[in-house]
Amino acid sequence: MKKRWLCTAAVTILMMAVLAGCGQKEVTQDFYAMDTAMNIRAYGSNAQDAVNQCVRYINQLEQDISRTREDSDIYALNHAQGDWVELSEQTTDVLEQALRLAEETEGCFDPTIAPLSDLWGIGTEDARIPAQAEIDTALELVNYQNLQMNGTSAALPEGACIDLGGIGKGYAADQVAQILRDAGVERAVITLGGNIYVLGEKEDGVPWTIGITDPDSAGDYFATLQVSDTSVVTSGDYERYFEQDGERYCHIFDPETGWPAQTDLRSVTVVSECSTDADAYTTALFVMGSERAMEFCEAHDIEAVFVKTDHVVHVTEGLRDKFSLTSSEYTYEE
Amino acid sequence: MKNKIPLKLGDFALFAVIIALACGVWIRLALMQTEQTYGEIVVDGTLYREIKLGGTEQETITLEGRTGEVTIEIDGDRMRFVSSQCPDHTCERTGWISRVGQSAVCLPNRVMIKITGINQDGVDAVAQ
Repeated sequence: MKKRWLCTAAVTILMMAVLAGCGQKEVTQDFYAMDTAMNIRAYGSNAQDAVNQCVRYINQLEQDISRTREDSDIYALNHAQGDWVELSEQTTDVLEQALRLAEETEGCFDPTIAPLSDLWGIGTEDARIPAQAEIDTALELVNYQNLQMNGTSAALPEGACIDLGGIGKGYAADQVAQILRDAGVERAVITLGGNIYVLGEKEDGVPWTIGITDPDSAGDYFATLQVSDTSVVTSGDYERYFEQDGERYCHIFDPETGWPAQTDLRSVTVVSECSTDADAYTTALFVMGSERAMEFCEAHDIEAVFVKTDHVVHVTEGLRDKFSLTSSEYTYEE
Repeated sequence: MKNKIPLKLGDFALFAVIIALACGVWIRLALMQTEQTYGEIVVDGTLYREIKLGGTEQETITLEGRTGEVTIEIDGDRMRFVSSQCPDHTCERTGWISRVGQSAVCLPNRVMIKITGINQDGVDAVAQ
C-alpha cells in the first residue's frame, strides 16, 4: 500500500514539474523614463520583483543625471557658473565613463555637445539652421576637456553644458542587466529607448533575434542579428531630424564643425557586452564616416554593422555569422 | 520473488488524470506554435487594447494622450499612427508595423503600439 502512494506522489510531482517547465513565467513592463519609452521582459520565478527593482533604479539614475530636472546633479553642475559641484558616486561614475569614451573616440563622442544641440533644436518645433556665427559661438563651449573632475567633484566653464543623453541609456542598460543577474533572472530582453540588452539565451542553445531598424522606414527592420548575453545599440539619421531644401539634418552633431554629421553613413549598430560603450561608439562612429569608423573598429576590437547612404551594408568580421539581411533594398558587402 | 500489485479503480483514475494533463500540455504547446499576431496599444505603460490581427479587421481608434488626440489605424495584419496632436510627429513617420517585435511610439502622448504573438519573420526586439 505504501508503495502505491509513493508511486502516485512521484508521478504527480513529475507531472507538475513538466507543466512548470513548459513556459517560464514571463513578466513584461512598459514604462517611460529618461525621455524615452522603455520595456523590460524577464523570465523566471523572481522576475516581477527584479523588474520592479530595475524600474526603481532607472528612476533614481534619472534623478542624478537628468539635464532638465532641477534637483539633479547634472543640472547643478550645468548651472554652477564655473564653481565646483559635489556629485553622487553614481553621477561621478557616469561622467567618468563619458570622459573615457570621449577621449577614446578622439572627441567624436562628446558629452558637452548640448549648446550645439540646443541651438539647432532638432527634434523640437523650433528646429532651424542657425547662422554660422551662432554655431561658432556655441562651438567654443563644446569640448569634453573643459570638464574638470576631482574625486566626486566636478566643474565646468560658465555656459558649457553636460548632457549624458548619449550614454545614459547604455549605462542604465548595463546596470539593469546586472540587477537582473543578481536577482537570479537568467533570461531577459531589456529595451531602453531602442537600446537593446539581451540576457542569456532565448531557449537553451537558441540565441535571441534582434532586428536592426531600416533607416528608410523607421518602423521596420532590414536585417537581424542572432545574439545572446550582449547589448545591441543603433544610431542613425532617421531618429530625430528635420529637412530643409531637400537636405536632411539629423540629431547627431559633429563636434568638429558644429553641424549635424553628414557622412556616407545612414546608421551604425554596435554589438558589445558593455552597453555604455556601445551607446557612445554608435554616435562616434556615425560622426567619423565609414572609412575612419571601420579603421577605428579594427583598432579597438569593436563589432559593428554599417549602413551606407548607397544602401550597402558592411559587417565586421565577428558578426558575419550572426547577421542576416532580410530586406532586398540593401546589399551586403564583406 | 513476485511483486505484482493488482490495479484498482484509483489507478485508472490516476492514469486518466496523467493522460489529460499530457493532452493539456500538448494542446498548449500546439497553440503556442500557431502563427497569430496581436496589435497592442499601450497608454502610459498600461495595456489599453489588444486587437487580434491577420483578418480583415479595419478599425480606426482615437484616444486621448498626454498632449492631445491620437489616432491609430488597424488594417488587416498591420497597424500605424495616423495622426497625433504632439510637437514632433515622429510616430506618424514611423509608418506601418506588422511583424512581431516591431513597435512605434508617440513619446509626448505616451502612447505605444506594438506587435506581439508569433510569426515566422518576427524578432525579439528591434534596435532603433
